[in-house]
Amino acid sequence: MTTYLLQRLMSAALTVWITTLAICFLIHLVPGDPVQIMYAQSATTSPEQLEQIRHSLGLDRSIIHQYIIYMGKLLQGDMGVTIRGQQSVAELLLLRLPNTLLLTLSALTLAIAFGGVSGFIAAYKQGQWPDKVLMTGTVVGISVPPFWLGLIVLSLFSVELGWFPVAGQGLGSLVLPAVTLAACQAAVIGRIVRSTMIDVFAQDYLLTARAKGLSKPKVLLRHALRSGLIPIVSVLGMQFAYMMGGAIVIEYVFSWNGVGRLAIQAIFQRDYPLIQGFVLCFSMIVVLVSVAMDLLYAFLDPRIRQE
Amino acid sequence: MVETQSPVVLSVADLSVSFKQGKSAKTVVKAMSFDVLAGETLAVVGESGSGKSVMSRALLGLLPADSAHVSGQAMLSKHGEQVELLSQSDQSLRKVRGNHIAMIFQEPMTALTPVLSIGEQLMEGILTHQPLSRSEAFELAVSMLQEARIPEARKRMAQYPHQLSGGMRQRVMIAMALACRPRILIADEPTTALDVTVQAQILKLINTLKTQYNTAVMLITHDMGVVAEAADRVLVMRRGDFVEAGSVQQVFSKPKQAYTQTLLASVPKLGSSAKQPIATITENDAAVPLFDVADLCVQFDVREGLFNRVRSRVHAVEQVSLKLFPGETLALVGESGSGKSTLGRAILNLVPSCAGAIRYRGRDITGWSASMMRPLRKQIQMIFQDPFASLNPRKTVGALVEEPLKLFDICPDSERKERVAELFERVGLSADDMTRYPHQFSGGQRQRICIARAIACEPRVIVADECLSALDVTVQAQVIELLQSLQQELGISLLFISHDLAVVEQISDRVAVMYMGRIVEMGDTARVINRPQHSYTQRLLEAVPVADPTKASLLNRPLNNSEIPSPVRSIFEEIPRHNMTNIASIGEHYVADDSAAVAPSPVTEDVA
Repeated sequence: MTTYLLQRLMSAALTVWITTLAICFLIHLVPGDPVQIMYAQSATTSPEQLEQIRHSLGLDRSIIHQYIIYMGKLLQGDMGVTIRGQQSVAELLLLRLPNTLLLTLSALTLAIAFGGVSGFIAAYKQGQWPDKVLMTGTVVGISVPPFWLGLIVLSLFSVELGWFPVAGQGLGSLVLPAVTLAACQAAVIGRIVRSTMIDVFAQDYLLTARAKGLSKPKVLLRHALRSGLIPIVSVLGMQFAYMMGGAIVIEYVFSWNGVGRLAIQAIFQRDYPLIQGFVLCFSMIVVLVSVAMDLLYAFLDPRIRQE
Repeated sequence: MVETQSPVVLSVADLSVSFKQGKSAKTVVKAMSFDVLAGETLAVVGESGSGKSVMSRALLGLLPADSAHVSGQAMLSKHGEQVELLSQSDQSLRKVRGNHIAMIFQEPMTALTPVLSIGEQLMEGILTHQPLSRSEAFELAVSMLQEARIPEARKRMAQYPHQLSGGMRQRVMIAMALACRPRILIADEPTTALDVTVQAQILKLINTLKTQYNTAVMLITHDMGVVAEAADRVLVMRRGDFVEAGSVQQVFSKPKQAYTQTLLASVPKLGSSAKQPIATITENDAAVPLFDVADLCVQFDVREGLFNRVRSRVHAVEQVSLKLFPGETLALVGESGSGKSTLGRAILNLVPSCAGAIRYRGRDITGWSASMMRPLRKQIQMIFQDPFASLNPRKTVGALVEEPLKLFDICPDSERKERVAELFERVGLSADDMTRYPHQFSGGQRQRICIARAIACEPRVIVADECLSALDVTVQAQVIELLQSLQQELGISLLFISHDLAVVEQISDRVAVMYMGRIVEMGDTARVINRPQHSYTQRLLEAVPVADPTKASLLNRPLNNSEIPSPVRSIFEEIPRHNMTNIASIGEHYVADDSAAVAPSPVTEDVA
């Protein structure tokens, strides 16, 4: 178990390190001169000013040198400052991050609850009408693009019916973006849970459990669901990563003041330090979540726990 | 064995089971009536599809409620009162399940929930039916594990199923089933998935506990050997129908029905059906062996620790030397994990070997890549255990048999169809079957198709890996006959991998007994089977159930309860040189010299 944990943490650290490499060289992948592109809109900037900015960003040094400086600052928690406004990137991200986490975690909870329950019911009633209805629902959930769904629920529930605020940061404003973000994930999770549970329901050990005289809830929850959770948990980590990506669009559509919306603004303004900070921040969250999922996986599966 | 006054614990009358299939219904158990007596073992015998398992599940209401229709009566007597089982609701049947009637199943590897500890699984059954505290239930569970002869019972309680071997898991199942002292134990093929030595242990355990608790045992099996060894009375079923019933002696000595007679005649009996060895080949020194394998080793790395370094290796095949001559059948016999299948694959370079040499018709093919082997594949074919899994379900069987003809360009396009038709007729199928799909055939027919595909490219060698294990005895007998006639006609060599000594005796000229990756004894089949020299061979032969109640003695013999040691060895461990000595004056009978010195001896024995 300790070995397993150390292995996961090592591979997580490796992933984060590779991300920092990618981030640092990202700026050089932009065709042409990034500084010129950044300031393309403002014609008044003189070549001397451009040179100064280049120097302040460290872009006049060698790539290796730049990376060393970047890492040195990063290890002290310094992610640089934004080009517009000269604010600290780290502070800005930290300010917005709780909103994004609130949105994604509520969406994940909703998705697991809805997807899990409907997948379980569909598997239990395999081939019967509840299965058919629920699985048709998941096809819709998977096919509808989240930004479109977002616009539809926004115009219906906020504009037409006025049940929820159009924008803002309160709990009321959280409902629509969270549901929209959860819809697609719930459909994916529902399908995974269904196919996993159908496999589990066919296992011999459920017959053993029934032959022991156990009650139906005990057979279904203790024996079936507990075994089924293992493969389900292993895909949840990946689903969360997809969800983080989806959050960027949803935050923009619902004007939710999270990191994703900040990132879109940064992209439009070509604020490279902010984009870099955002990418690093997101990838660290995804890595952390997948480590957490691996731990949960080990907790559920005695075959890993006992090693 | 059973006194006539034994009370009836279960009386079944007119039990029928049918399954809905679309709008029609298919009856799989037809009006079965029988009694189960206290303290006796009733064997329910039948081939696959006879309805024996369905019948036992129907008694406990374990069939899917929406598709199965059960009718008839089953009276269970418990504490002096009679309870009719089939009319009970699921809820009231729950009080009977595990409490008055317990079940154990065929596959111990999958019959226990993988995420719950042995202790939890044992205790939940006890706590469901008995008014005990958790600590009392724990103690009862421990004592049941001890009754089931599980060493270190207390320690096992915290362990999980994956930490136990198949035999140990079946013991746990038995402990679990008997914890509430049921009146009846339904054992559904309890030893089919186990090795013979473990099978003997489990049968003996069931028998001991049956006597101890005066439990009735309903032993469902397809194996006539197991019936003769373990049963008091027999009930023979075929396609859901009652065939005949009676005491074991009666049914085996004077079977009334033609089906029972066929069934008994099909059972290969050890020591009675030796094949005439083709002496001319093995004794002729000039004969060039098809395969000449010397000191072959196959190891699999076991990676452990933080950096996934190789700390130990599974020694699957260890210093194996053998020869396969043209036209002969060499059997590789051993229990699961003995390395017989790995050896079969390693010889064909399907698994990389780490030491030793493989020569095919004088050419060294050791370590050849897949592309180098491809031209040879035409001459070497394989047949696998599961005939359904080895046929692509989306292709017609005609196309499947035609494939090797196309691949190796064996005959001109125009003649191909004709050739496939010929092959179908050769293996006992009709040419009209060519357009059908694999699922439309029975298991035996599918194995015939696999054989047709294997002989399509006129191979010199067929490696048959447990190719009869999934078949019923009557079908098995037919397929053995087919293989033998094909071999005589086409002169194919057969490397026959099997765990079934009786079948091996019937089909093979020479036999090699494998244990822990090594060949411990090898020689002419009759010699090895009738006069086994190595202790492992002796133990293996003793454990084979004899399909004759007058000779059955498995349950009376003291049994070796030991488990097979692990073939995982540290990478630093020194592997002693493995020597074999020919003890026969004429012909061959090699026996492993187990006390061989650690240092490699200068004179290496040339085995076979």
